[in-house]
Amino acid sequence: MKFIHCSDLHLDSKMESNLSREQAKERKHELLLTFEKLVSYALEHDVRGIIIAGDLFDSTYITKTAAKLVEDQIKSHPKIDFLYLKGNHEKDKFLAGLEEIPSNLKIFSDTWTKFSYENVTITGVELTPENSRNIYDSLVLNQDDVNIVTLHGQESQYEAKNQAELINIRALQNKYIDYLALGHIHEYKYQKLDNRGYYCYCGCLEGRGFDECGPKGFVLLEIEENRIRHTFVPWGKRTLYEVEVDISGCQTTGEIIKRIDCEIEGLEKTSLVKIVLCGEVDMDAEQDIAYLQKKYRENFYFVKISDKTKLAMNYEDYRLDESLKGEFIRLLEKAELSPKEKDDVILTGIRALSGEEI
Amino acid sequence: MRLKKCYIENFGTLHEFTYEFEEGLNTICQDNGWGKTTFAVFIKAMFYGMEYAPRKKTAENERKKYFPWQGGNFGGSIEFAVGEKEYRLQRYFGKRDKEDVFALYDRRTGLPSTDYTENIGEEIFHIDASSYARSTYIPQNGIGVSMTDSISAKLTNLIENGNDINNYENAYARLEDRLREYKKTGGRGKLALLKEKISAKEGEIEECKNKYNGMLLIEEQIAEQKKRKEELEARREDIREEIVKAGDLKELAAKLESYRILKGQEAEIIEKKKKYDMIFANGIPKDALVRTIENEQRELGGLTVEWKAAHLNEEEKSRLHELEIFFAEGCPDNPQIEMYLGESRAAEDIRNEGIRITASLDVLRAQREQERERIRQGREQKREELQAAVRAAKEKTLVLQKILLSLGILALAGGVALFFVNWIAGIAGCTLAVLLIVAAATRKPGVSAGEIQPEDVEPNDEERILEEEKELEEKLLRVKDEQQKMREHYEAFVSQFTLRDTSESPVQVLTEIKAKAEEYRALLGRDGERAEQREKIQGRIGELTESLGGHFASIHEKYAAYEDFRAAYEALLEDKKEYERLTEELKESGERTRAFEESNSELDLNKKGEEPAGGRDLEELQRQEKQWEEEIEAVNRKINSYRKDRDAMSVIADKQPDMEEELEGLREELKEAEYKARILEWTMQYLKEAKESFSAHYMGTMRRGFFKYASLIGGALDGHIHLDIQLNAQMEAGAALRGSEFFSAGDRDFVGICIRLALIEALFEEEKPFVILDDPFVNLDDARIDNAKKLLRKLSGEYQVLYLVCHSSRVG
Repeated sequence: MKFIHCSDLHLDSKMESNLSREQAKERKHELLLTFEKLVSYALEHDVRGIIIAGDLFDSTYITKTAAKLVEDQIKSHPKIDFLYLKGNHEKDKFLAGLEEIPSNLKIFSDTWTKFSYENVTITGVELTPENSRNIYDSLVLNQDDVNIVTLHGQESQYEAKNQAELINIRALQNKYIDYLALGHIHEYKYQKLDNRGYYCYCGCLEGRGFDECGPKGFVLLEIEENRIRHTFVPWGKRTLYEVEVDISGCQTTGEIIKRIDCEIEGLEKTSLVKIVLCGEVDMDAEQDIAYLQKKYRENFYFVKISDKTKLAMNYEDYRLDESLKGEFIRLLEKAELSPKEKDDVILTGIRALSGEEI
Repeated sequence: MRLKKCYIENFGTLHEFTYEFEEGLNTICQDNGWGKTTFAVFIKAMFYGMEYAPRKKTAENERKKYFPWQGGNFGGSIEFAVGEKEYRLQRYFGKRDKEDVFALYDRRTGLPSTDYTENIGEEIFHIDASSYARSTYIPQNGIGVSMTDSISAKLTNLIENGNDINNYENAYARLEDRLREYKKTGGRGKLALLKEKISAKEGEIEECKNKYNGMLLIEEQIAEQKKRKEELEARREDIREEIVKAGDLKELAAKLESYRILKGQEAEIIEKKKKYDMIFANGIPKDALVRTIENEQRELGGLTVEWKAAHLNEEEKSRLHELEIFFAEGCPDNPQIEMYLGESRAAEDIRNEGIRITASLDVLRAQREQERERIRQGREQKREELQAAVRAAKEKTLVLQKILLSLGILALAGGVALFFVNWIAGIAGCTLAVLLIVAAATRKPGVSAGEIQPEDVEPNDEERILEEEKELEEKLLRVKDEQQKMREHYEAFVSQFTLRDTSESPVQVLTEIKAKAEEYRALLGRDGERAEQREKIQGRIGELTESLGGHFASIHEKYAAYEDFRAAYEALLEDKKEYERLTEELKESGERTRAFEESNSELDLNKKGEEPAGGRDLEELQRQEKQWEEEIEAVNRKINSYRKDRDAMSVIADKQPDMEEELEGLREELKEAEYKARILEWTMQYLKEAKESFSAHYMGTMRRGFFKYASLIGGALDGHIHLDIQLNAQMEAGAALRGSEFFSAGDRDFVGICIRLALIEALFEEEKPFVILDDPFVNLDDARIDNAKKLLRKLSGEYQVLYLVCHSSRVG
């Protein structure tokens, strides 16, 4: 018997803010398509149920398109159960909007709810400030079953008062759990829970911003003779990467390009890439960020260049400099500005005086 | 640096002008229009060249303004010394800068020198052309000094150290331009635009939120309606339960009613059957009897028809009557009629013979008439031919007469004429003439009309025809006589019958009499045969009438009372059929009743039906159920309507996430733009501060120089004048400072000259330049003029001075 463990789909969520209007729209559609494809995968692989461990939607507001698509997918696949656990980002909006609850939509509540499939029992509860302390004691599982437990929250090794988002991992040990299907963290993570079971964050299905870099997907659970085999399936249509490039010592844009090219080699063309320039640059170094932005736009679906370099500046060098530049830098040394602001003002002033592009 | 000599080939008004410079003061006192300013401009042009600016007006365009009026080479040369070396600089100008010629020679060797390039002015003085014009050249007007980058750079002695101070103005301007992209006056620029977009986007989001809130309200309405629907559905379920209960009672009542109907139907049949039971009290007639009655009544009917048919019909009767009248005198037999017919046909032949003879007579008479006409026409034609021959002979004679007469006249005329010549010839001529005239007068035609007679050209047949006519007329008389006799015999025969049409021919009349006689005899025969038939039929009819009367009487007197046996038979059949149907119906009805009684044996079928509990019958309950159904349907419609409204709102509300993303993007863009604008503003601020701070370094030298020269020229201004780093002079007026626009013309020139001289002193610490004074003391009062002269003398101790003046009173 097969199950899919997915979470944090965040349908209808905001995308990386620097995407163009068209790209943001396209990405939203891709998010919906990824979910559709996931259901098709389940159908093709004879999956009995899809466990959605929270945050199917992003917020209380759900567009008609997204709600309808999910409803249609559930209704048009009656042989697949959708075991739906609401996450911290969701309310009852989706369920309230349904004309009637499809029979294959299995909903967890704020008390432990069980769904059985032969010898497999899937148990789950939605964490609330009210129940977050006592759910651990009230969880009773049959040790002869294959027990999958699903929760949505941040893992913790300790009990937290009234903090619904925290899951006390220790309190779930020795409860005959074979697989703890978790949602909330957008990175894939698989760790031992106790002698019997493991806990797993499957991560989100698609990365949306550069805080969700790397491969994203779901976990396929195959149960044979009381044993669970688990496989992470990369599934996102696009991958996001954040690449740091140290350009210290580069005097020209051409030299910077060479450094960047070394770092981005092998990244897929469909990716969304954030190139973070770092290191210390000379005041007189020539660097054209706009040009770099334009150049690498051709290489990927989306590219963003972030300049986090610092000026290689030693104010002592200008102490005795009898020039306007020297006077300018000496003034700025005393100015009540942040280091970055000082760097930017100095660079702007020097470029203006030397006739370069401001 | 010292000027030695100059040669102006052509430059403005100056032409082939040579001037040798002295060390110290060089005074050129000339009248207005001599070309003093031109001379000063020539010196500047030698060191700095001339700007090529075709779009500038002539007044501002030195190349155009000083282009030689008289023509020739535009330019000249100047000899000067820098340090120990002496040079001769040659420049000639074209209309465009490309045509300019520059040459520099070492005066000692006479060879071209590469010590300086075309930019020799900047290379020697380290200031640009405009700075030169604002420092070493002191004009009569516009003495005021403004700071340039070049002067500033020179003053701060930085020209060798870098270009940044030189580029300050340019850099500041570029920063300003860049900042203007973000902040423009009048609320324009990128920042304003972004704020405007953000405001618009916020408005759109607000609308989305409103729609969303509207959707929430509608959701509440939907939830409320769903609750109402659930209540109604519960009520409907209650009613349905009641309906089931009421249905059971209804079923019992229905069964009792069914039983009552069954019994009623049975009683009704029995009642109907009673009437027939009385008719067939002796039993229902056997089929054999019914068949006998049927056969007999059918035979009787057939005989009745036959009896009626055994009579002459009305037409035959009428015809027989007519013929009896026609043959009232007796009916002739056929041979008699045939004899008359033979005579009639012979009479017809005789009549035809008479007609034929008459026709032949007519032909003969016509022939005779034709013969007479033919002879008359022949004679007439002959006569016409003879008359034509006479007319032709007359015409011929007339022509001959005319010819003879003409010849006679000619002969007469000739004879008269000849008579006077030769009287014999004349007489002979006249005689001939008389003869010719006489011949003409006596000439007659050869044939006359009286000589022509018609000839008898053909023989005459009239006599023969007349004889044939006579023969035929006699034959015709004999035929008519015989015809008359036959006619009289025929009329004697037909006069015994009444004939309708007497115009018919005897054959036709006799044929008709013959036909009528035959018809009359046939009708008489047929009438006799029918009488015999009727007698036979009458006997059988009597037998059958007696038999059928007996049968009907044996069944019921009702049928015997019928006059028509067929009607009696049909009534019998109908009654029998109805009796049998009612018997069968009664049987079936009885069976149904028995079956119902058996299937509902547990019920007391004789008691009355019960009323439903609660006082509401099934119909009422069903009405109530229908009402709930309708209300549920109405609620469904409301829910659907709300959903439609909600969906319509969601079209706009669904845009909210996208718009919020866009708003976030715009805000980020604004934040970035504001940061960039701030950086630009700070850069400008700090750059300006740096420049001012840096420029303040040379102000000490400037102030010292200014007050030195001010004290030399004299006046009450020193100590009350302030100089800023842009070399703007301001005068103390109480606690405030007033700009140079508040100065008198004399004070302004006084201050300007002092600043200029201080500037020259500060600018050129090492290589002293020459100073050109273009009559700058014109506005000074007498006291200051004297001091200015002293200043000139003092100045010429330090600098080579070229003093251009137009009035001897100001000559030093």
